[in-house]
Amino acid sequence: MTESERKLINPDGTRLDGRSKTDIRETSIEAGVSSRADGSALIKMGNNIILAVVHGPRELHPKHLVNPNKAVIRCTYRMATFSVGDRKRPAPSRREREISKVMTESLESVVLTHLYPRSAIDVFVQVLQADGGTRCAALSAASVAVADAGIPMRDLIAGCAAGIIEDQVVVDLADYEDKEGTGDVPLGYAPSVDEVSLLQMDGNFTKEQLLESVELAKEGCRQVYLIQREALKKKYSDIREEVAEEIVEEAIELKENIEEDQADITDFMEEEEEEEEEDFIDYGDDDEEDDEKVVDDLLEPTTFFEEE
Amino acid sequence: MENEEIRKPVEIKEKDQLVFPGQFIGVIEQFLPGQNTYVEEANIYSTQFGMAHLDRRGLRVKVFPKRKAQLVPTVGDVAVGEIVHASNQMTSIAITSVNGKECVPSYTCLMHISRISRKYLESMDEAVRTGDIVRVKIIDAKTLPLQAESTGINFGVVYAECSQCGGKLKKIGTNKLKCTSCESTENRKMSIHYGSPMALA
Repeated sequence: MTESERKLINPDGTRLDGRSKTDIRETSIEAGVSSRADGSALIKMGNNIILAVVHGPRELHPKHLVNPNKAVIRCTYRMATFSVGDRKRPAPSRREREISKVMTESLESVVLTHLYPRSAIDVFVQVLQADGGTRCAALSAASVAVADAGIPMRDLIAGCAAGIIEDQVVVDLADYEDKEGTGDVPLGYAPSVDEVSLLQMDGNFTKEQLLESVELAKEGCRQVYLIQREALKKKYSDIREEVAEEIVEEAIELKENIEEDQADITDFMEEEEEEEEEDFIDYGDDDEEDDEKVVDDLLEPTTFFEEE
Repeated sequence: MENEEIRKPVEIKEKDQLVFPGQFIGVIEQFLPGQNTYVEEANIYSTQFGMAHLDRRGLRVKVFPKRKAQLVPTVGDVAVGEIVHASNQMTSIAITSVNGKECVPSYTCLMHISRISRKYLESMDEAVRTGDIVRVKIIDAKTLPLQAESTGINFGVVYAECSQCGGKLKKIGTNKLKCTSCESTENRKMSIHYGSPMALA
């Protein structure tokens, strides 16, 4: 059986990788991975690995692009040459420019650009490993990176695709499902304010299929959204734990020092007491005996005269 | 999962709560919107990742961000930067500090000779030279590049090196400097903070 003929959905209704129709791939996001950038995030969505980095707000060059009323967002999506099976030619392709454009427009809809007039916010997205649905994953990572940079936003954007394989609508297509299926709908969605900021379509859909795809993609976006929130939360809880550990270590050191000091003090006190006791014994009992001896000596008749 | 679950308001009446960008905090009948929040259709949302705090009287809600974005200079800010170019009439300054806070990468700022000092200046060399560190005030931020002025005793050169030998310059008069190694004298429009760390504040 050739690849084009194989079934993409098992008889029990699961897909080839064991997911159900509404399951997204295993996703993890890490915020603040780059120390040189103002904000950064690394997303792993199935076999996708994508790094998003934010610089800014900063001075805009060339200056003729400056907007005196709001910041200019410039998003650059690039795929590494080793990110796909066949070597990708390093020059920016039509597809990369298109994704850069749609991502820029999607981010513009949520970032409060009017707070930073005359500035530029640069978002660089590098796909290190691609396995279908990179534009959605890249958008999720980029919005976490922007939030990590401390840039005010109306909401986080989560990205997730839905598509048709074997006349069934499924969510979050992998690379082989995307290629062997009949169509896909990538969606960028801000769940809290309930706004769609990116919607594209590839393939032929009926009206019902499109509406169902959008609903399923939204549901996938909500799952990604919760992971995004956890990523931001984890970064700062990690920092807090590190600080807490440092404080605990310092406290333990301080306590040990104090205990050592106290031990020294008690040793010193004991020595002093011993010395005092020794002194007491020397002067106390002996003194009395000596006194008695002296008295006895005095009372005893001397032999001095007898000898004479 | 429905949006209602994500849009559940945070309970900040007893305790400060961690909020995310776009998190629903409450409605405008409950609180006034404060810093780092925005209002849309009478709902208050957070714009930052940080702690939402209700003030003592329980009227205004604001968010203290965990991370603040880079600074953008505005009118009235006090900036410190290096003179990268000084021509006959204009100087350009690379601003690296705004109101005592670091600003990386630098912002370019222009200063006209008439804005350097209240006195008449024959040439730019009397007031500033390339490589000087100056303390200026932003007077126009409508367009890039920014415009600055250095009139007044607080503003002007705060650090300079000798143009002959590159040695340290010591202040010997109001607007006079003397090199510690080659003993040549130079003129500058000086700030009273010359050589002091107070210049950055």
